[in-house]
Amino acid sequence: VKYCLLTSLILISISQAVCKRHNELAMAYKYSGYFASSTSTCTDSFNAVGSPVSACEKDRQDEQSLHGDSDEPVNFLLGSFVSFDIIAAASSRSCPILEVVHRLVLEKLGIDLKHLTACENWVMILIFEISLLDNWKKEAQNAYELSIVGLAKRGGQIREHLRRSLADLDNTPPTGFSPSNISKTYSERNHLETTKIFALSAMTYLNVVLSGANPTLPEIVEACRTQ
Amino acid sequence: VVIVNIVTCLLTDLAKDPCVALESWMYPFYHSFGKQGRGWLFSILTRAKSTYHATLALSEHYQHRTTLHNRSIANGSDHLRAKGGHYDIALREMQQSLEKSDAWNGPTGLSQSIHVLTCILQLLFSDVREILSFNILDTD
Repeated sequence: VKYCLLTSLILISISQAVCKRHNELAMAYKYSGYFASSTSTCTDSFNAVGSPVSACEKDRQDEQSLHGDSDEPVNFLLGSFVSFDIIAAASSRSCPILEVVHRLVLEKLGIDLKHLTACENWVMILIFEISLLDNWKKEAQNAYELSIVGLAKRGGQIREHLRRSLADLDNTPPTGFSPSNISKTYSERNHLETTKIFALSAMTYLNVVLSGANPTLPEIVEACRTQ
Repeated sequence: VVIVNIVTCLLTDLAKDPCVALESWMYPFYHSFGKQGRGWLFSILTRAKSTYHATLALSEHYQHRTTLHNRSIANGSDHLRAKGGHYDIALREMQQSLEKSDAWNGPTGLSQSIHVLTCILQLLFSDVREILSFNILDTD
């Protein structure tokens, strides 16, 4: 599954995203001459990439023989792109670009973001869910059918999950110092701190989605103070 | 002169320990417990021209930021993205690889996808750094 995702969906989606991104940058930084030409070449070539299904069929045959050699880069690239996509969607209030089920990729494919970005998978999944909630809220608002009760209920479930997981993080016993394994100790501490910062930021993000960007809101003040 | 210095620094670092440069510059939290570790990343650097130049473009950007004052950064970014520069070469190489991608299949196809995606990831990092630099300038 991972190889199929990587060689077909990701390649096409990311390539299109890069084209789009370069186009935006070109507009933003007035490099339009150079980027416009490169973008059109790029887009044409992506159309010739081939259908995801055929790529899938081909790669399935070789999956077994590749497993030993390619698992590490595949995990690294999938994890990096999926987390990039989640953070990009959250920070730009846009829909995710990758046509993958982010939650499933992070939950089922054995990708551990802790060793890539120092932030654990569960936080990234919750950030993604908050951005979905934000998009749902926007759409409901535009259609004049936003239910504050429904919004609070969905947000409350995410908040409860975040609270429980943050409490678990706080209760995690500190890794004992071991001169023989300084690197591992350092890495464990790094990821605990980073995960906590991401989780508290997610809490602030959730409160902003639910109640608006009000810095004086007690929940936001609390999350920022702990951070 | 700047580029020669960067290449020299990079090669010196790589000569000491290839993974040190990659680890400290781009993926400080990346830990691999597999048999090959992060070696695959270095291996791609030496085999894929696009990734090689994308990595140099990123290190050039870092070098530029750390050695020049903020006011010079805006002027310098034109130079970093200029035709014939590392960023330009990386982008063109990536596009050329993608043009051939319909013929990719099997283990070679996966390997090519990994090369191109690693290059795209490096270019994304460059773009993010670029945007961050402009934001820092704006807030100043």
